[in-house]
Amino acid sequence: MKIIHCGDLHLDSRMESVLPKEKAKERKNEILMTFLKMVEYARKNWVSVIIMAGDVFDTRTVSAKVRNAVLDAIKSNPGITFLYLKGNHDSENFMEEMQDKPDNLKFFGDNWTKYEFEDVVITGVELNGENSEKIYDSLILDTRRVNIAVLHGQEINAPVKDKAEVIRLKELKGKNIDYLALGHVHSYKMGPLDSRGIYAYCGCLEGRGFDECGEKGFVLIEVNSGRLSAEFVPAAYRTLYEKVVDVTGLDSTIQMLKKIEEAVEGISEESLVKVVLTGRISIDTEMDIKYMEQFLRDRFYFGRVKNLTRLEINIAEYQYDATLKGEFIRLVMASALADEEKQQVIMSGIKALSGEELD
Amino acid sequence: MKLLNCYIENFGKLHGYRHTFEDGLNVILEENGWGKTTFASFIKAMFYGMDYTTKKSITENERRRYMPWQGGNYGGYIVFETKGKLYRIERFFGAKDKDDVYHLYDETTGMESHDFGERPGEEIFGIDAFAYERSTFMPQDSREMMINDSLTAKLSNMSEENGNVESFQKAITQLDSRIKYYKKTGERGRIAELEGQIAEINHELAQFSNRTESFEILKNKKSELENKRIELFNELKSIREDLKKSSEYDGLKARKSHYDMLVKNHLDAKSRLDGVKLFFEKPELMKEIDKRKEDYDNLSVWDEKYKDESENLKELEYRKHGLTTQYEAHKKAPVASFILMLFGIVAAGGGIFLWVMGDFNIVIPAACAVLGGILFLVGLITWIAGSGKAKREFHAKISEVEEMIDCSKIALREYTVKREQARKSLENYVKSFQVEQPDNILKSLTEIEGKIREYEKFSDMNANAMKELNDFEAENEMEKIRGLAVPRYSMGELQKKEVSVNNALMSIMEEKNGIARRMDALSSNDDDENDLLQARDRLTEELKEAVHNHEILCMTKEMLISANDQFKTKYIQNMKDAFKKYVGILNGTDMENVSVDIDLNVTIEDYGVKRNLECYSTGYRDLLSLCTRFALVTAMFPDEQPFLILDDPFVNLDVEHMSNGMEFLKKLSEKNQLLYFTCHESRA
Repeated sequence: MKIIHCGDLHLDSRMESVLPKEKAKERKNEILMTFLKMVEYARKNWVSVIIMAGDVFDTRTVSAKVRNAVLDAIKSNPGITFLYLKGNHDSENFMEEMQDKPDNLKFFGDNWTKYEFEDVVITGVELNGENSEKIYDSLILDTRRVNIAVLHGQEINAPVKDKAEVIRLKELKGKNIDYLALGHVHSYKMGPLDSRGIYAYCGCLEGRGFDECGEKGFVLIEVNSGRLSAEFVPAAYRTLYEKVVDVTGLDSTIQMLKKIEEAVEGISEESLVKVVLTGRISIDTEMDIKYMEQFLRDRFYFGRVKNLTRLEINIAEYQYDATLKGEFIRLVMASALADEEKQQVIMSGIKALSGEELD
Repeated sequence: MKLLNCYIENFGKLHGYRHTFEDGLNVILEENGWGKTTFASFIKAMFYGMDYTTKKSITENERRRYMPWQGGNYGGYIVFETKGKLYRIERFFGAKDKDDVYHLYDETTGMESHDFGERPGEEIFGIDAFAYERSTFMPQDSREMMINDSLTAKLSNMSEENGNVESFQKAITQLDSRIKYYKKTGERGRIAELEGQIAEINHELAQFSNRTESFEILKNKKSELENKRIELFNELKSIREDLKKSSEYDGLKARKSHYDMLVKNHLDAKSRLDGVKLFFEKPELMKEIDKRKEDYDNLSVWDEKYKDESENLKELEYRKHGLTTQYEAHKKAPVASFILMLFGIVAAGGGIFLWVMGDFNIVIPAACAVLGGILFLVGLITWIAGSGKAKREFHAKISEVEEMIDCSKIALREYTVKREQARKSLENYVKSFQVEQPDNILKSLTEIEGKIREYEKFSDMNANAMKELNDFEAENEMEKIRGLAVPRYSMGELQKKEVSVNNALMSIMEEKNGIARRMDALSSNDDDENDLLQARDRLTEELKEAVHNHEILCMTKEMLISANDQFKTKYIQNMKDAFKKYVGILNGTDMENVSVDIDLNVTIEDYGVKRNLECYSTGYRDLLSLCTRFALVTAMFPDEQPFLILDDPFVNLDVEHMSNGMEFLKKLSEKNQLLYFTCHESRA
């Protein structure tokens, strides 16, 4: 038997704000398409169940287009059972309120709800402030079956108060769980739960911002003769990358671009790439961030450059600088401005005195 | 501060060169290309070292520029005096600055000194190498530079790579331009533009908000309806359960009745059985009863036998009587027999006569004949019987009968005894039971038998009742039956309620569907709303950045202006004073009507008008420029006045002005050490 574990789709949600309008719209559509492709994959590969471990949607209102697309995908695949667990972003589970729910769409509730498929039992519960402490004691699973448990929340190994979405893994040990299907964390992660089972976060299907870099997809679970195996299946149409480039010792945009090129070598042009410049630069360093961004945007689907370099100013060097520049630097360094502001003011002033283009 | 002597081992084209410096004016008469600039650079390199750079251009790479062509140690030493103390700097340069060798010695003691660091020039003169170079070394075209450029240019000449001179004003102009880009008067600029765009989006979103509000209202209404629906649904469910229970009730009631009946039956049967059981004390009683029944039967048998025997006796006695009678009769038989025979003949003859006569019906004659016949026969027979053989036979038979009578009597007596015994036994037996009429054995036995039958019957009944009860309990849901309660409402009432609630439910569903359709219509524009939200996020981010950039630019401008003012203020008064002094030296009189503006441009008030230096003759202007430069140097070096290197400053002057100039230098050299290079004796 094959089962797909997916989650945190956040369909119809907003993209990273720096994306231009058209690209933001494209990405939204791509996320929906990735979901539909996953369903098609399930159909072609004889998958029996798709577990959606929370945060399928994101917003208060879901557009008719997305809603219809999801419903149509479910209805068109009557041979696949879709198990829907509400997450912290699914504040309104509109699907549960529908009148003509497809028969192959099932829900979980505030108490453990079981669905049985051959020798596999899939049990899930939607965490809230009232049940979050009680779920551990109330979970009773048959040791003879292959047990999959579904939860949405943050795994943590220490007790935390007043957090409905916290999952204490150690209290799920010894519960005859073969696979703990988790949602909430947007990156894939798998680890041992106890001597019998494993836990996994499937991550999201597509990254929506640069805080969701790396491979995204779903987990394909196979159960054969009572044995369970699971593997991650990359499914994202586009991958987001964040590369840190240390530009210490480099003096110009061109030099920095060469280093950036090395860092982004091998990345597909369909990707979204963010380059973070770090290290120490001097006052005389020429650095055009916009030019670097344009370079990235010409090469990739989208690019962004974040400047986290630190201006290296040895005030002692300017102690005897009898120029306006020296005077200016001494004045700024002696002022009450915050360090970052001092840095920016000095760079601005130097650029102005040098006749360079200002931000 | 003054230089004493130096030794150049290898530095550029200078090799093994020694020079001793005099106080005041040092005239160095050498031809062009001798190495004046190299010499000046050597002195600077001693006091400031040389920066290391990877730049390959000679003009940009000082270290490479002055690397000795002939090889050998690259460097030398210089001896100087400052604040009354003599020092020697020994410095040799390697390919990289880390290969340089630097030593500072106290020239008097010969010991290494740590009074200054590796850049003693900074500490002694209070300025860095860059400013020092631009101030102490006056090339031939310094006059033009001095007149036209700002202090920044005068002192630093910042942009060396492209050869252009960048000014403070240009920087401020650029900053202003950029600040205005972000914020212009009259609510213009990029910030205002972004705020406008955001406001526009917010306005558009407000439309969505209205829609959203309507959507929210609809959603809340839908939610209320859903709650109501759930309420009604539960109520309907409850009604239907009640209906089911109600319909089940009748069945269950019947079953309960049946069950109650079975229970009652069982209880009755048990009770009866128990009642009857009490009657029987012993378990083997039934066997006894059977035996007693047998005994009673035997009693009847005895009775039967007695009766039969009695009948037999009676019969025997009757036979005896009969035989006796027959015997007696036999004795009297002949007379009688003859009479009978006579009558017979008469009757028969009468009949024949009648028949012959034929007056009568044949029947009467026939009947008479027959009668006569019979009478005759009877008479005949009796006559025969009355014979003697017949008498003996009668006696034998009578004896036999009498014997039989005796046997019968004996049997009767036996039967009577046995019967009596059995009867007594039975009497006693039945008396041991709680029969109603113990004297009446038959009745008692009948009663007992009845009880036995009752017992069997009740036992069967009890067993059947139990079985029926058990079967019933096995086949039925006893909890329901036992827990059967009378429904709150009748079936009719429930059905009415069901219809009413169902109608209400349908109505709510319809209303809810209507609301859902309206919500769908409203949410069809959600894509646009999301786009607007996305755009607003982007613009907000951009606005934040723009505001921040604007703030930084404003701060930069403010601080640059402050720095410029501070910078100039540091030098302006000193420069003014020094200029006055130097022009005074030049003219031989003090000058009060000198002004120096914020850009350190010098003007002289002549005939009530401030005139800049360009107003004067070329020769005088050159001298005034020199004064300005010296004044600037004086202002720049507040602590120790450095030596100055002048590269043929009077090359353009005529004799008269040159003479003035030389005088000027001589006077200056009274307080300053000057290194005056010239390539012509006329100017030496």
